[in-house]
Amino acid sequence: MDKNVFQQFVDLFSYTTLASILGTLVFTWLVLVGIRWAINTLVNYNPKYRIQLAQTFPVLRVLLWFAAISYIVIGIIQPPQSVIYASLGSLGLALGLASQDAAKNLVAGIMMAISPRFKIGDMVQVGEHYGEVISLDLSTTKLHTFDDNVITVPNADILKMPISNSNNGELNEMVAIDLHFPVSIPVAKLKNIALDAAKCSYYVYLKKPIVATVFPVFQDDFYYHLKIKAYVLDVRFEKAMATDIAERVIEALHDKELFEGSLFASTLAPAHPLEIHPSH
Amino acid sequence: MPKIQEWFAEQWQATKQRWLPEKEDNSVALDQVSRFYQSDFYLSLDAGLKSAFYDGPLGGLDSRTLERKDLDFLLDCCRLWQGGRNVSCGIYGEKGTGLSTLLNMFTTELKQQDQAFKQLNLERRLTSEQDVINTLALLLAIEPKEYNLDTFIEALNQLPACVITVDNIHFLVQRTLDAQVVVDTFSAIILASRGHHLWILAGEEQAWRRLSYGYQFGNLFSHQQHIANFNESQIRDLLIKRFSYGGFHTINDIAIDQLANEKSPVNDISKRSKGCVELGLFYCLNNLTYGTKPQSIFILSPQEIDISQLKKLTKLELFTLAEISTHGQLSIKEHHTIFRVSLSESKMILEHLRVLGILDKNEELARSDAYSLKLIISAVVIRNLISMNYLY
Repeated sequence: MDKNVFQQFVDLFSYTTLASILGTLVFTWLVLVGIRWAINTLVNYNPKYRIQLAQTFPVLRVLLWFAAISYIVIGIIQPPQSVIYASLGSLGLALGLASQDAAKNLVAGIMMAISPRFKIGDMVQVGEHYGEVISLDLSTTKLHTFDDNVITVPNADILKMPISNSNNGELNEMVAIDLHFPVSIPVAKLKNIALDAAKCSYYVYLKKPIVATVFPVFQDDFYYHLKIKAYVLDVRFEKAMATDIAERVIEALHDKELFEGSLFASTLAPAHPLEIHPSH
Repeated sequence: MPKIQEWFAEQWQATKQRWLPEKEDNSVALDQVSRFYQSDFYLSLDAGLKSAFYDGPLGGLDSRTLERKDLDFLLDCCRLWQGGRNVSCGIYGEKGTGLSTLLNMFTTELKQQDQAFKQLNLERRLTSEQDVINTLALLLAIEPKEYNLDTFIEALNQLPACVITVDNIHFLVQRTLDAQVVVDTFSAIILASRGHHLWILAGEEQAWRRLSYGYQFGNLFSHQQHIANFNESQIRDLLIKRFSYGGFHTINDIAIDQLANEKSPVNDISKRSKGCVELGLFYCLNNLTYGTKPQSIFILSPQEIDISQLKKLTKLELFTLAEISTHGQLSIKEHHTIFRVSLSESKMILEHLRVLGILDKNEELARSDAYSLKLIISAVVIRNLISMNYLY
């Protein structure tokens, strides 16, 4: 950097300027804390719209920080053109060399805020992790899994990976429940019981259709693969609904004395005897 | 970062406590609303006021069905049916809207027209195909014998043509494996006898929605009508009439005949009641003081209802309330079947909700363990369950 430009750069930062910059940053942070508090209050007041309300925060945060930094540069520091060019050059070099990954994540975070692939509250599958999006920060995204773990995924990775979004901004989502039964159970009865059991579950969103399909599968022996597809009232009850329906089907089959003992035709259980997953 | 935020929150709370005095809590607790009619304050009110603000229709003074158009809707359906059209109709509305009163008014009109009718009132949950047939055979006074679906429909179609009204349709709602059979049997009977008889079914809105979403119940009807709750001006008129009936001629120093036009708490109460007459009556009584002049009364601004108790309930309790609002009422055994919890846990949950003042135990019925939403707060509870996404 030219000595003159460096001197000009140092001259820009008087105590007053530094105090103004600090003041602007603190003010912006406080405004963001206030916005987050207001959104949380609104969500508490009307939980039904929690996804729509929560999605506004990441966008507002990017906009506010962008506005604050623009104000600091243009309104407070007011650097001459030569300093701007020199600073941008240095900044670019520093970002390029020292913090490549962080910069990538930051850029990815801004891109995701402008063109979101999912929203806070959505149930998404990112790589091998499946859970509810609880935070969309500038550099990372946090998922809350059903095992009660919080998974932090760098935003740059999210942009690279295929994402499956189960509810896409809605509170209800389709959940598929796969169960396997011996072929001794009459198919029509099995299907009817599956449909009735799904309607019995208080987690089911009855405004959308419930579908049950049965088809034979061979794995060491023949058995029926029953697939029930139903919409859950709220994504947070996904596992609860799937378990509830599975239990109700099994109980009903026992009550009607349609089968006893093992769920499976042979002693060798299929690889995934009870699979519960949202339908994508 | 969270630590900084926690620190900031603590500082903010401390500053707030130091510089901003706590505002007086202006809300009224949910159980205070639901137990108002047992409160000492209510019992201390004078008899005239209590009779004027009786928590139910006051005979000729105010019918719960103020809208003539709802009655006209039923009479129009009847005329179409009499003209040979294949008609069946359904009416539904919020709990306490006055569906039963509307049906009574309708049958009174039918009597005047010499039109034959039968009035059915479901009083318990129907549990199987045979149960539906037997119950309807009994209520319709069809010759008692062993019927199956086909023979019952045949017998029903041999009855002289008449209007059949069925109230309390919420007893068709259930979360059991036999629910589909029950609704299908009921639907088959209506469809097979529609045209010969005019079926008119009435039920609470949430039950109606559940039956329509889960069992396409709405497809049974050629005509459906939502019976709207009272609007703001209807509640205001009703309250003014009640004051007048109680012998009070000035409210907040405003002559009773000017109340509708002046800015008065009665207008505020009408707005806050959101269509619920019981809530309007409660707001009037809970906020009144006697004036110094004879036959004058002062009403203070009504307070908001505090629903924080509702927000603190567990997931299971909220689902319980949602199911009660669709089922109309739930017994301990029904709760145990729906939620697959032990009978003692069911009892505990229902009793907890009763103690909080949200549920009523239907002591007067033979099934004394049936719990239903307290009428006075049912609209508030249902609105909140919808906003919390437990009802739809």
